[in-house]
Amino acid sequence: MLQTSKKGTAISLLLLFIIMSLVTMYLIFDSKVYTVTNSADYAVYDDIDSLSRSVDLVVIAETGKDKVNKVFGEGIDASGYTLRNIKILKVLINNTNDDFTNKDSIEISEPYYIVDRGVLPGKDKVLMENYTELQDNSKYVMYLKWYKGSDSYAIHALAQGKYNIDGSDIDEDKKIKNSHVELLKESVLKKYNSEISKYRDIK
Amino acid sequence: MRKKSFKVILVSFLLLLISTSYVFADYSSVHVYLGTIRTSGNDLEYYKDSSIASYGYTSHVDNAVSQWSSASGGVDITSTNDEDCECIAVYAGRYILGSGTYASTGYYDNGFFGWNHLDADDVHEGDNFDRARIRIDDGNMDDAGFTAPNANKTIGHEFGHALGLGHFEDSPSHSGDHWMKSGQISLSAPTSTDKDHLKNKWGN
Repeated sequence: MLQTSKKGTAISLLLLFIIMSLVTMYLIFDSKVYTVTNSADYAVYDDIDSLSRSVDLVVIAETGKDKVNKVFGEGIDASGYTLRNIKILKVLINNTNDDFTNKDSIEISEPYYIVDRGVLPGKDKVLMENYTELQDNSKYVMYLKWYKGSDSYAIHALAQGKYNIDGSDIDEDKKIKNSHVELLKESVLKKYNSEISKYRDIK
Repeated sequence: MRKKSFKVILVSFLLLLISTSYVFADYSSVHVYLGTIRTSGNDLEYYKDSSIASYGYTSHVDNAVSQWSSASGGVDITSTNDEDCECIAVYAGRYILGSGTYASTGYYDNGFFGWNHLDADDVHEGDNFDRARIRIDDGNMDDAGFTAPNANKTIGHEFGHALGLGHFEDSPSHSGDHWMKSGQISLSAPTSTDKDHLKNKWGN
């Protein structure tokens, strides 16, 4: 009788251990973020002058750390964007009627979002085509356009809308390698070289 | 002297011929994905969400389907009303894709736990998929002043992605305008280069 009870306790403990292990494993896998990219058709610019004419603002800006993930719908039906504040270091072009002072902080949106995978453990970070997300505490030349979808300024035309200037964004360089965006980046760095050099601390 | 000149011309001509044929015969995974929708080409289906009619894109979607279907004997796409189909599903909305993006295509695997979103880069390199989900951004296309031929090209472009074609501007690029070149382009039918790539993928 005593032996049966001991056996029952051992089995219960074993089951409890297995369940706890499975739950722990699920939680570990559920916190993992998988990067997925969609193909897209988007505005393409042959040179930075035509890109500049299509946007509202061109700035040298610094990113912070805080960002807000905005998702609408669930799973396969989800869409969204990411909001984050940037500090304007230098206004290069202002096609708006608003007066942007250097060191102003404004909210912008990026074309990516993070969505839960439902029953599948983990989350998907959904990016578009050649876009790579802005890195925290990094400096960029940004081409921004007012976007009704986020009610804020937004990085325009995916990878063509932001160019890292302090060497902190390795993903960006990898993604645009051998594409026309790489040539646009060279033009941006050349055109704004004197302004960029005042703010660039190579990382 | 004449002999030498003839040799130089001949070698130049051959080099030009080789380089030209290389550009036009590029069917690498840059332009033709190694991954494919799992349904057989002649059993392909497409699902039109009600938003397609609401935003006025029915004729553009139908144009994309008929143009690609007639481009290759290996492709025949018919309509379905099954919203959860393993197929090419098309939706429209306003300001859903981010500034300057006209349309997108996502790739999904139908697994034990439901739809699993795949990375387009993995599809380029050989991952197969069960569903391509096309989304059209009516707001962004409006703001860009899209005409009917622009819409035909962009929607045809996304169906091209769903059928396994990549961007022709990517190196080694094809010059000129094509359905599979990115951007706002006025082109209501795929070019012979577009069709050649589809045939390479699905057969004549």
